[in-house]
Amino acid sequence: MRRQVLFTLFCIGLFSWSAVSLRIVCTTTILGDVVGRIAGEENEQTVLLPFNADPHAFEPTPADLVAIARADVVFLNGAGLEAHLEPILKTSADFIVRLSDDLDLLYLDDVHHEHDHAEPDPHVWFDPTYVMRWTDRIADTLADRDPDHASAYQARAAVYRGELADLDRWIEEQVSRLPHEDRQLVTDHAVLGYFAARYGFEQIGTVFPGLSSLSEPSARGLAALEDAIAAIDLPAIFVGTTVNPSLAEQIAADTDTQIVPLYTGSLSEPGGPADSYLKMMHYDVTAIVEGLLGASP
Amino acid sequence: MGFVEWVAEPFRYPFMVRGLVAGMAVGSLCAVVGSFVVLRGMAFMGDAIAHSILPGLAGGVLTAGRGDRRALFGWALGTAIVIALGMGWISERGRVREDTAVGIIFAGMFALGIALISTVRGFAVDLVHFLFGNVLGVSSGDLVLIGAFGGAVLLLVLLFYKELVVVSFDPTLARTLRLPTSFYRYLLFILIAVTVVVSLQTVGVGLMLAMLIVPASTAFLLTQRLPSMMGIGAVLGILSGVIGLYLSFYWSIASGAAIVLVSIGFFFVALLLSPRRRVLG
Amino acid sequence: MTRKARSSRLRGRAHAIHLDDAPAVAVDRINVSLGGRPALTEVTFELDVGRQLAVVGPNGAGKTTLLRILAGLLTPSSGTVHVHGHGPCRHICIAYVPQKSAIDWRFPVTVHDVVMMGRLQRIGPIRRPGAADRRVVLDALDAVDLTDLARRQIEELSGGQQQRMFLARALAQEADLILLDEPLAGLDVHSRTDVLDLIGSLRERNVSVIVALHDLGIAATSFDEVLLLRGRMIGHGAAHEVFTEENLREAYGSCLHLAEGESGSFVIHDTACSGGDHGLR
Repeated sequence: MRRQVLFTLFCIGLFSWSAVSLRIVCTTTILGDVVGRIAGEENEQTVLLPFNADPHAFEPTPADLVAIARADVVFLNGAGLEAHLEPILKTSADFIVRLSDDLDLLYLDDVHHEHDHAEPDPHVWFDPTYVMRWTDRIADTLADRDPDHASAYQARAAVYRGELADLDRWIEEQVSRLPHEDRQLVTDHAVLGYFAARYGFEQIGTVFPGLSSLSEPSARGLAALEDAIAAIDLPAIFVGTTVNPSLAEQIAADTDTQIVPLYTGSLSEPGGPADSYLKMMHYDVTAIVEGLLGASP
Repeated sequence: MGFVEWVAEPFRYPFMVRGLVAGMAVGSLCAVVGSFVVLRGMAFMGDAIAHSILPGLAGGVLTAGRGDRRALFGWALGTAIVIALGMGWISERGRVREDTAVGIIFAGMFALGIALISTVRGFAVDLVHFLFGNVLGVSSGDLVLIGAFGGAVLLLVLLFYKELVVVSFDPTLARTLRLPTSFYRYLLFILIAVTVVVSLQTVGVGLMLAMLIVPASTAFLLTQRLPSMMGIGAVLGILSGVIGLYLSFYWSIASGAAIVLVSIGFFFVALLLSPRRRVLG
Repeated sequence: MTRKARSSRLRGRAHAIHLDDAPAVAVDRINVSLGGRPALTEVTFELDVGRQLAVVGPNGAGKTTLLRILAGLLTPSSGTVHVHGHGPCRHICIAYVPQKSAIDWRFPVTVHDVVMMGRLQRIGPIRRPGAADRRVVLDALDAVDLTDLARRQIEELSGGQQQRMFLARALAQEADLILLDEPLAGLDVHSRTDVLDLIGSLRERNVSVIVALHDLGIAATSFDEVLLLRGRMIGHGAAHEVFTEENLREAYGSCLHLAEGESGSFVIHDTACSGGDHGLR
């Protein structure tokens, strides 16, 4: 008798479990927002990184690993951003999608290292056309895993693609306000490569060398950066919210330059100025253009 | 480029000037205090304190936010002093060895910090980086800080030098002479903790650890008296800082790493040339 | 030559006034347990100023425990201890040289530095050693014949030289009571003679000396009084009165035999029997 009761309960549980929609896990808050726009409200979505966390330095908790293990699909940025999480993900996750992996990636032109182990620049989200490609892949993946709702996913993806196209046009307009010779970027680390490539900017230097906020600067690098900033009379240095700004602040003070904060690796908290990908790009582009126009008197 | 130009070129950049001053200040302060650390066999204490302040930093971030470095520094310093007293207290009666006490505090506090952070998912796990400085990013305010705290530490070492030495060297004699042994032990731990936190905030963790241990250890190989060990250690710390920064300036090597490697270079030279007959154990 | 009663409020710590007619040491029925087991039971004796006492007994008899109590490092659970009329903790004129020194011989200090440490409380905190202090140290080094080795790092000393250094430190401390735990252990015959001669010369300074020893022969010939101990006192007084066959058997079990010879009696230690060994302390 008891066995039958347990079996019945098990079947009910199984049924109700299968009635739940997809369990989706995303790594960054940016990813989470984009996936959320396509996946919609009815799916259970978890974002691993907290707000303002640095993706390069993230370490998952056991709760995160549980979420990964239970997930039907895990979306990663790819292109090396979550490289240090790969071993954990491979053992825990069933189905991983690295959204940036088959896109045209930029490689950092690094004079110090050989190109054998050249690392790709993972910050693809600064080019909305890449996010459009993400959208396609996300929609296809979700449709594949959850065919019942495939049309809904594709519909939402189409809407979002439209919004991304609008964003792209809007950025072109904003950027056109800057004369070409003013389109020079100095950031804390090399985040704006794709943005620079698409909209005609030049990354002339970074405070921290390379692609990661964990690298260590040399005095020569900083001296060269200060010289470059002084040479073009740059009005602003852009610093991400996820890094320690003190070194950039010293450079800015020494070169009489303004520090302009940008959202680079993470959205702001809900209610903040950059709590969705679209709002983040609006905020950042405005800040970049205003900053380079020398907004302060 | 002429030699004078070659020497003077880095000084065109204010960050280099500040970095050199900070490197020299940290190098000399850490060598003096580090002499006690090395002689008491507590070389890992720097690392232990750097990790043990994590709960304090968590508290600071929760109350003051990540941007306020002065507040974070205050929290870190306060936590470090509490830690120092804890280490002293645990090893007070001699039932627990000092290095064990340090290890226990380290493990416990670091775990507490991680626990605190993990329950409040709003901020980054790598929050310690928000306190740790970089020798190239030293502000004028940082220089004042290290001057004030460093000066205070050195003054106390000078005033209580012979008591600190006896308590470290022969605790039995200290007790027989009715010295307030506990007071001096606690004082020493506090001086070490303050040195660690101030150096950490100024030049970061890797450089602090090296400056605390390496110049003093190098000086130990070269001299037979403690005052000259401290003096030679300070000189080596300063030289490592200066040479390392020049290397970083002219050969693009990461500054912290360059300074550490120079100090290690000095150590190995001393190891080979040491007048002490016994080099190993 | 008598010492004036010391009444100075020394810079470091108030020093108890020696009572004029008090014995150097007065121990009355002290009991102490270590690790749950009784170490000393109802030990009672007195020692007059300027006298030299040898404390003998088998391993684990409580010799070290007794010395540590007299030094003020251990408190008996019952009974009283007075040095010059006051509890040991009120004095800074008691010098104690433990059996196995726990000091780090690689510490960068010279012989001169160690002897100067004895003067710590005479100098007081914050102040530096003055000319008078240096003179006292030089005199002490001269008294133990270590003047030539004053600038040597302590690791370079032989066993006998180490003991002489500690004696010099006791002299620099201006100790009125010197406690030595097995000062002759591990020394060759020549060094032993040196150390014993030095101890003997302390009579001129009217310093009281208590030495824990293994060697009954030396105890009998070189000291004014002996105290035979095995947890409890078996005998105290002149050697020939205390070292009776009965007492020795009680102290050492049946492993010691008193034999009559032409030049007097001597003690044979039979190492082939097991004896009542309480184990090393």
